[in-house]
Amino acid sequence: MNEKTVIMKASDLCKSFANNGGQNHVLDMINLEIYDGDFTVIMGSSGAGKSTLLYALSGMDKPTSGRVCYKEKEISHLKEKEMAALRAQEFGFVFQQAHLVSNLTLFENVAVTGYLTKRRTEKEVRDRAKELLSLMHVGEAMDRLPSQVSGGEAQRAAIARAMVNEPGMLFADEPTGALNKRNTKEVLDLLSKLNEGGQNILMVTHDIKAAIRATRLLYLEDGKVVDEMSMPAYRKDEARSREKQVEAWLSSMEW
Amino acid sequence: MKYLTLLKANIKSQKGSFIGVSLLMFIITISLLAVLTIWKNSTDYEQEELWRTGYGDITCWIIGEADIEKLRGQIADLKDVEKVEEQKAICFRKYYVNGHEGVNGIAQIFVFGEKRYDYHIYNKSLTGIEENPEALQEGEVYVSPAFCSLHDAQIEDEFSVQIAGEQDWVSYTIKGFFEDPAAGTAMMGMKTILMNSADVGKLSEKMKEAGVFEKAKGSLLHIFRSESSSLSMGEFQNLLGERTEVKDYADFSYSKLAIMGFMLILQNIFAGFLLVFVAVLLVITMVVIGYSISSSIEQDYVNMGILKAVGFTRTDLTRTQIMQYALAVLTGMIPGTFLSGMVVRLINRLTVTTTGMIIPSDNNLPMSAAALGAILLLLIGFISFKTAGIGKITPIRAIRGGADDVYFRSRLTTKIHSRGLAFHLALRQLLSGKKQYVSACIVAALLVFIISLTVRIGAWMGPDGKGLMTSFNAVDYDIGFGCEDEALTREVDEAISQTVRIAHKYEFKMERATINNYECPVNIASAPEFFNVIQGRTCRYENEVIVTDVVAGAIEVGIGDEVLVSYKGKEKEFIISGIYQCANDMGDNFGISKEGFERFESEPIPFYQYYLLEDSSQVKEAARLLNENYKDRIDIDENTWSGLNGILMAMSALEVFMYVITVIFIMVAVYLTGSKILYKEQHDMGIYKSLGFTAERLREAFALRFFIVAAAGSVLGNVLSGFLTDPMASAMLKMCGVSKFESSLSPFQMLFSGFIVSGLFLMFSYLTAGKIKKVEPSILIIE
Repeated sequence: MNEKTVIMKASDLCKSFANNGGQNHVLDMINLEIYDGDFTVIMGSSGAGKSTLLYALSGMDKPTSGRVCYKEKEISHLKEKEMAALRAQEFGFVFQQAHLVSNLTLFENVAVTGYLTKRRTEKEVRDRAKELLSLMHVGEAMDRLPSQVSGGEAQRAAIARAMVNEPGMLFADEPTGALNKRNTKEVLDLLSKLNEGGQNILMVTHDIKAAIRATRLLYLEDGKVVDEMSMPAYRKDEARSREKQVEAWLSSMEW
Repeated sequence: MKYLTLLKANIKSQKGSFIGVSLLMFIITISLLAVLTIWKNSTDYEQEELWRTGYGDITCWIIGEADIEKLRGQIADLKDVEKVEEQKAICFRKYYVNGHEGVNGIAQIFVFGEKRYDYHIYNKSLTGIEENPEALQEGEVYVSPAFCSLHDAQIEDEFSVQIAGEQDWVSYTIKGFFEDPAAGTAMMGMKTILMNSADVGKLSEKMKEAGVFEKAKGSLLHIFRSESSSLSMGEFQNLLGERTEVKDYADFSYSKLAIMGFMLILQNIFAGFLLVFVAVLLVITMVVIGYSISSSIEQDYVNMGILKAVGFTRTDLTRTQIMQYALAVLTGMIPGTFLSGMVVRLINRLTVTTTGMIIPSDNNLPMSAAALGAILLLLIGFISFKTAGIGKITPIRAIRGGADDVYFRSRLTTKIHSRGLAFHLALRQLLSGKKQYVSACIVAALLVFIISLTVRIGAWMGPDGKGLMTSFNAVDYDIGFGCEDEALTREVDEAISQTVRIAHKYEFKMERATINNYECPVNIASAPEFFNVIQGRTCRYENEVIVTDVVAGAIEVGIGDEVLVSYKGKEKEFIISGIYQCANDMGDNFGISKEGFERFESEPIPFYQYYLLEDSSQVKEAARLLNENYKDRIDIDENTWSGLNGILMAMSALEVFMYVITVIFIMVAVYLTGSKILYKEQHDMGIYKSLGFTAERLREAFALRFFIVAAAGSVLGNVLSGFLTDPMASAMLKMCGVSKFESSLSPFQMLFSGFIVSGLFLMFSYLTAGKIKKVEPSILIIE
């Protein structure tokens, strides 16, 4: 088996919140490596710190202590401007809710993000936005405002937005949490397809149907990564067996 | 108790709104009460002091030889006259302070210490009245504090008058300053000087020896209308003109109201102006409060729904809102009321050398209470109207997440481009949240309107006050001189012609006459085409006169009407050919050509020589020529006025004041509006940040929105001021006789106020948007 390249690394990562005069340690000295090409999924019981870990790794939130490195560069203590540049150029983010800017059309939501980097001309950004929206099956709705489309369409547009700058890492926090069954499947298929194309994905979920898309599963408990499991790349015909495998693994974690 | 709990919670959560509204009301209260107090106190005090110092309902100034007893008898015999009192004076056409000629106008010397004419003497710091003033010693005089602003005079400076020949001077030392309620203001040329009776006697003797006393002796006849008289003041004045020889005797006569008008001209103009300003500020405050209420309801939608669910009624919630804003208004009003007294004292202290009076600073409680009560009621009514939306809140809708989205109903579309991304995003935010920016736009429009109004009036006056002088002058001229010696007149005329290029030269003189028995000054010009005619045409033919709007109104005539003009006992019929503007004597005057005047066949009178120069900038050169060579032998008329500097200074101060207030209002309005918008948009800000936007970029886009709104408001404000300045300023200036006000602004001046206001909006919104720094993408996290 080939040696995998580490794309992201967390060392002694802690995140605490003040709580009734005391400290609630949500992340407790986490040491973790994320590998290039993986579709990494973080699971865990409610309140285990899954989303907090995702936000700390993605720079959306500052850790209380510890270090996060992306491509060997420490990002946990970047200045606001450097962090913004990193988000624009290297990271894509899909939230549980679509979180589209409400007064921009789906197309504009994607294009505006593309304009932030100077990698492409305006025309190129527009073309890519259209292409991505079509790829996410929301091409026809691209001139609509977020309030005029369904939750699934909005979430797919959010994925297109996250992908517009070809990020080194795509973070997804329960991206199907607010979607119905049909939309959930569509979004997960899209993510699998992106990963097949080499896109690094780090996703938090509590949904086994989403978790089976992973090539690597991490289990978080009380702010610590207590176990992990690797799987081959997702194949549709193996869905059922993967589901059983994940269920068994989760059972062993007393999930 | 339930209200108190909610009230406390609301104020705590909306500290910014509370402080902002309080601050705006604080400024409004101070400005309003200061203006009203100065206006009311100065009017009351002036009236009281005129009465106390012996001025009648009408006072006639008779200078020179006259049978005063005969005239007194004629007046006293009228049943509408209660009494006539005579006050003796010695009058000089010129006076000097530290060797420099005083302002144009008569200097009247009164005896100090006569009980009937009891003048207030000021303390040395000009902050109050001496309770036991020192008697004047030999060689000492008291003068008006206006001498300080007009002549830079100080205690122990020299005041002198020329008796006859070039060497025949009498000098006195200024011992201090007194309150002259009839001529104390720097706005008037006439000045009163108080002297002890021994000095007045000596001066009279000396003048008698020189043979000039008879021409200089003066009498002020104070005529009191009887209480039982049913005549109006105008009718009373007409009666005196018809039934006595007062018009033949008096050099000029003024009613108490006219004297008050002269004395209070500065206060009245600026009070009117500031009242308009305060009214605009009040409207701005209402706009800001209105927006604050609407957005608070939106912001607290869920909380209000929950409160309704637990039993609070719409009335309870509305009352809480009303109490909250009323409390903010009162929090501003109460300290504002107390501080207004200090502000009035400060203004009075700063203006005493211009107004000549120390106006009482005490707050007029009933008036203040009425004004503030009316504002409070107005605001409560407005708040009640704005809080009506609370009724629409239902618990179920609140629990489902609050009010409907405000976007997307009728959206204008603009493309978003990569280049100028911040601007495009700002424009999109603006267009999709139009309603939120309406208040900011109105605030900008009103502020630009009021600044533009001030700038327009300032531009109309001109930097040297030429525009204002044109309104006060009957005719156009650059410089003039008066001289009784024909040979000298020719010499001076020649000297002027050799020094500067003259465009036009004509003769001018102001006399007193009656028109349809209405006594007022008449302006006589050998070139009537230089009268400032605003309607009809000038009095081209000898049987024509022109009148001001004021006179036309007073004697109820118009263009084409026939009038009877009386001068020195002779009467002639004239036709009114036009309406002209001349604010002299508060617009109480009429004009006639020299040919028309000659119909009276009176004794020849010396005319002033007036000059219009080809190049107005040469006026200084001409003035220098006259002052250096002929100063003591001729009257030089430099087309200026004693009060001009005071008005120009007050105008500049007003502009500064308006800019300062504008800065504060924009700061508060932007903070209140901006904070609410930011609160509403913090979710979007979080999204933008998660995408890679920097706080700086978002701040720029946010500030740009306000800049665009303010720029649009500025255009509106300039358009408003273009339409409204002239009628508004005309209405305000009418009280001092200026009946036509026409202003224009250069494109630069127009852009300037808009640029300042838009720039301030940009700066304060950028500062307000500092809060964006604190918005973290983590607000999007749902755990």
